[in-house]
Amino acid sequence: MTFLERTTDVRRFRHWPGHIEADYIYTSGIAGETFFRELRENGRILGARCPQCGTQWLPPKLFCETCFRETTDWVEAPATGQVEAVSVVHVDAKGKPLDSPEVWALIRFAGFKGGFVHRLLVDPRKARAGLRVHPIVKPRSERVGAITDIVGFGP
Amino acid sequence: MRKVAVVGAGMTLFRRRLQETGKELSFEAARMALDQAGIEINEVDAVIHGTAPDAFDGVHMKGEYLADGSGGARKRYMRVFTGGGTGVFSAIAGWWHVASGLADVALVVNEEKMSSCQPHPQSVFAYIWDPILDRPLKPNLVWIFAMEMNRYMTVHKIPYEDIARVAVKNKRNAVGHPCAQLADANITLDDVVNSEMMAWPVRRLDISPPSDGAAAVVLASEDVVRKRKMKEHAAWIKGVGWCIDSTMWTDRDLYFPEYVARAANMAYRQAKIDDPRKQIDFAEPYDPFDYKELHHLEGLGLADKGKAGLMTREGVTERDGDFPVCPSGGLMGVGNPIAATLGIKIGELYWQLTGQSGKRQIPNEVRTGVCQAWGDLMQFGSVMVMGT
Amino acid sequence: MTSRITKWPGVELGRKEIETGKVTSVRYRPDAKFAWSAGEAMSRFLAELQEGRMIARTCNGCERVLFPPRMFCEECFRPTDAWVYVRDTGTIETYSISYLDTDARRITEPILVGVVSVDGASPKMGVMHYFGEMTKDEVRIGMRVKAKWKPREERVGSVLDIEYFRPLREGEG
Repeated sequence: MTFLERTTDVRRFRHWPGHIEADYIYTSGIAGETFFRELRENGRILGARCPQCGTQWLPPKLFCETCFRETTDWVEAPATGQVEAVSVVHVDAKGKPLDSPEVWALIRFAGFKGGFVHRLLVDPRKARAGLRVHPIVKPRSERVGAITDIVGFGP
Repeated sequence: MRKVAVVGAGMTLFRRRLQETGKELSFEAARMALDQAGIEINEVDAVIHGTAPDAFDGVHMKGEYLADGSGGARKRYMRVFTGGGTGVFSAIAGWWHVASGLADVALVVNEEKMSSCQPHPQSVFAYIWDPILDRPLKPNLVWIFAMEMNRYMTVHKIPYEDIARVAVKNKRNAVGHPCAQLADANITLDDVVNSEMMAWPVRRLDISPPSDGAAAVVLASEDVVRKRKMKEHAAWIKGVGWCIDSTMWTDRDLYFPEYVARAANMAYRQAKIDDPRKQIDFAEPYDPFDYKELHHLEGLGLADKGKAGLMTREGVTERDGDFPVCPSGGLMGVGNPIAATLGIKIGELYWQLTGQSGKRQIPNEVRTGVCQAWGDLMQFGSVMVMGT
Repeated sequence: MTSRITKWPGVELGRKEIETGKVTSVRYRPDAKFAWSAGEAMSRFLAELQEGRMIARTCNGCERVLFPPRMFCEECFRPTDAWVYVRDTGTIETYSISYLDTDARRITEPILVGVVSVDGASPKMGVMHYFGEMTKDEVRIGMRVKAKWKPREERVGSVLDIEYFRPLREGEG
């Protein structure tokens, strides 16, 4: 059974335009605060270790996802990581073509569960999984305690 | 259907702004509930997460986002949302899992991080309104409460003081709650009556604050309670009920919450209660505004229509009164992190029934309690009856 | 047990700590734009408002006149049957005198807003709207009101084509 009346002239249909507007501030959280402070102050990347199962998490979490216990130890990530997967992007978030393609990658670090999705600073033609890369960090004066303090990862 | 008990509960502080991320808040409350219950995460069969609109935290698909913080990674997980009704409804969803036999142990975690929304969560509350009928008028959320409160007061000729007394009672009760945001031992009726007028008849002190917070409860089947010898800290779920009305709120007479009454009847029938005022010892109705406690007491059948105000006036609903209402301090005193009010509704019933409420413990013996939450555009009611 | 816990989790923050950068945070503004389909009922409703008229739908099942109009009756859960015009007069069912504007800012001259049940529709069928040409001491539940329409050329097909509802005058019934 459906409506007993139906408009067939599409010009008679109305739309009500509007937007949903809101501003947000996201705090880094307890674990995030330590991570971003260390990144800002010393340019170091820290992970967190679960005291129960020994899993090391990157980025660090307040709790171990498996044991559901508070992670208590901070561990510095190794100097280099490895690219697990890459994507070469040609359009921006709204679908507009980019002037030049960007390379994005998932980078993992030995001994740590997780990793970072970040810019891969290589020529797109050279972008591939398996590359050994290290984080390239902004100078101290430009660091604010955000993921963008890392410019990207380079070989 | 199997018998289900709450065997542990936890909650974080309720504050205007907490530093933890939503995941961390969920973890803190869930961890505490598990520790209190003596249950390990690998013994949890299902995780139910209750949280209000994604627009408050500002994370789309918030249920999925909060899953790991709620202990839900690689588990049976669902996120439920019924507006302000989520505080009780998520526990009902948890009950489904255990009563049906699908889970022996269920963890229910509710979280809210409203402080993310700038400048005030009010900004996104506005999007509840219908885009064509209501939003062009640029309504403020307080208006709709004011209109409901006005209708309630006018139909029953309730003096404002009777309503303001609820704010005084609850903010004073909240002094006994370690997580309370707005506890005030010294608040007087004059303070409320003279507080700033927001939208007549609602004044500033009639409203509960927006809050960040999380709460969690652990549900277990009768078998688990017996095998693990948890009887001492178990409170049984006797009846559940829920009901929603249409969003066409302008077509309804707002003086009585019909949908709360229907939800209550469903829960009472299951709990074999036919005289709620006599067979129930205390209540935690939803009180985002002081008049709502009275409105809901009537919807729950615990007071005759128009008469709930008398109960406050006569001291019946004080903690040491004949029928304590909101011994936790309610949303008015403890705070309103929407879904996380689980901690002061289900949580409070649990703690009162198992004698763990500390300074808030009701002096008379309590064996049966009812809690209720309410949500959406004056639409949704969820009710749970618990007992020993 | 719980009553013996002394430290409850949660780290409180004040607004200043975020604003001064004492704790790290990220700001973001989503930019979501929408064009909501008015659908069958609302399209006609808005078109009639532009003509200075209010329209409703009837349901033969429960014999109600539904306003605002909808293509299905939510009680009977069946399609509604016919269009019918309703009056632009009604009764105030409830109201508020707001000292907060739409952005929750304080104002000294209050906005009067409320729900009007419309004549010709079933009892209690109403809309929310502003009230005008009355003071905050005059507004009351039960007052008979009439829509004040914007001039024809200013009407676009919106609930704002009505400026506000004002007291019904002698002889207007």
